[in-house]
Amino acid sequence: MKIRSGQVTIELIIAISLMAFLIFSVCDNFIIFMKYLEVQHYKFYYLQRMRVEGWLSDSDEHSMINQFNAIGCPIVSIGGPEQSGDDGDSNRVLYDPSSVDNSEISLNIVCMPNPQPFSPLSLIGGTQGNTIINVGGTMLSEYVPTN
Amino acid sequence: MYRPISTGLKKGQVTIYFILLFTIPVIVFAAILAMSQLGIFADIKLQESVAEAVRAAALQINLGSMANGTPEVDTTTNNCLHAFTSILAKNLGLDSNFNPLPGSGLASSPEVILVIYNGSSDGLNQNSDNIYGNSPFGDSAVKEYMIINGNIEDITNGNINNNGFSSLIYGDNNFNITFNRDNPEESIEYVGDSYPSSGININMKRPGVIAVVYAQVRDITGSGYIGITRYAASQIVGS
Repeated sequence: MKIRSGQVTIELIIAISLMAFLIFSVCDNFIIFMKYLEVQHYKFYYLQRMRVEGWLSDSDEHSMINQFNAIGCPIVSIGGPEQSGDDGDSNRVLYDPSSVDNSEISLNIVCMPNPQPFSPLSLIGGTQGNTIINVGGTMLSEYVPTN
Repeated sequence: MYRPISTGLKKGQVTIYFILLFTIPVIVFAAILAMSQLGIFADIKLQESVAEAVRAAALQINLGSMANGTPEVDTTTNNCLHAFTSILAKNLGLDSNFNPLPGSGLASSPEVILVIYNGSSDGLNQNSDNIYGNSPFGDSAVKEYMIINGNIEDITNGNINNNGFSSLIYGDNNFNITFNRDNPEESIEYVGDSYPSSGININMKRPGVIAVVYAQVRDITGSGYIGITRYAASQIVGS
């Protein structure tokens, strides 16, 4: 069978396009994965701070928001006792030696990677929902009022 | 018009070469991704969860002993056990029966061996160097629990009690950590002042808590699992 002019070139273009797309998808997922790793580390760091302080202090909250912005994962919501909450000091979780449940302190962070990962489904008419990273954890507060 | 190209490639050959050339890196990427996912769960989620659970357990101090300046882990209530199971379950995504909730990375209920170690002794082998002695606060020298399929079993009369306790202040209270799934109750073994070459040795100088957790982590396909084991220990300091 004869090969027509340009046939190999077309094959080459199609093959490169397909493979580049495949590699891009894998790399894109890997980047999100690494972001998830960073988010987990930050969550753990600030949860440890909360364990000592009994809440997420204003300075820690600002610092956390800045760090999440810096890695391209702006925070959508923060769940947990915050100093900036409406109830003031009553937000603070104290160490209660007689009750484990009263001493539990949690932090839940929802953030949205920016830029969003590419969804191959969008090429064939699928809807591309927002990809979010949701991490959280629970510890026991060790904060004891000093006065 | 037929015009041969300089590469000498025939129809279809380019495609095959490129598929071979790019498939291998893609497979390598996928393997790295799978291993990373496992690593994240094993080394971050499970390890952190076990560490926080034992820290929470060791935080349950007998108030009388605290006031006396010789703090012990409170075994007169179930606060210590409750703190451990509650923190572990919440961080691993387990329900109250220790079964994985939807979205948890675990494929099944984790298996746990938990030792609460006070060094104080209620009639067990001890010597005058034991700074805690018979606990006047009612705490047990040791409590050992096994949690399998969410069932909490007190196995305190296992191998640890039989070995007794000796000096706290000379640091010869070693525990050897292994995880034998056939005999999980032997996962944490009291070995006195010896340092077995197998397993991991933990030297407890103060009352505290040791735990070993075996968990089946879902692999990246979601259909299979890989078994991993992590341990952690926490001691009361500052006495």
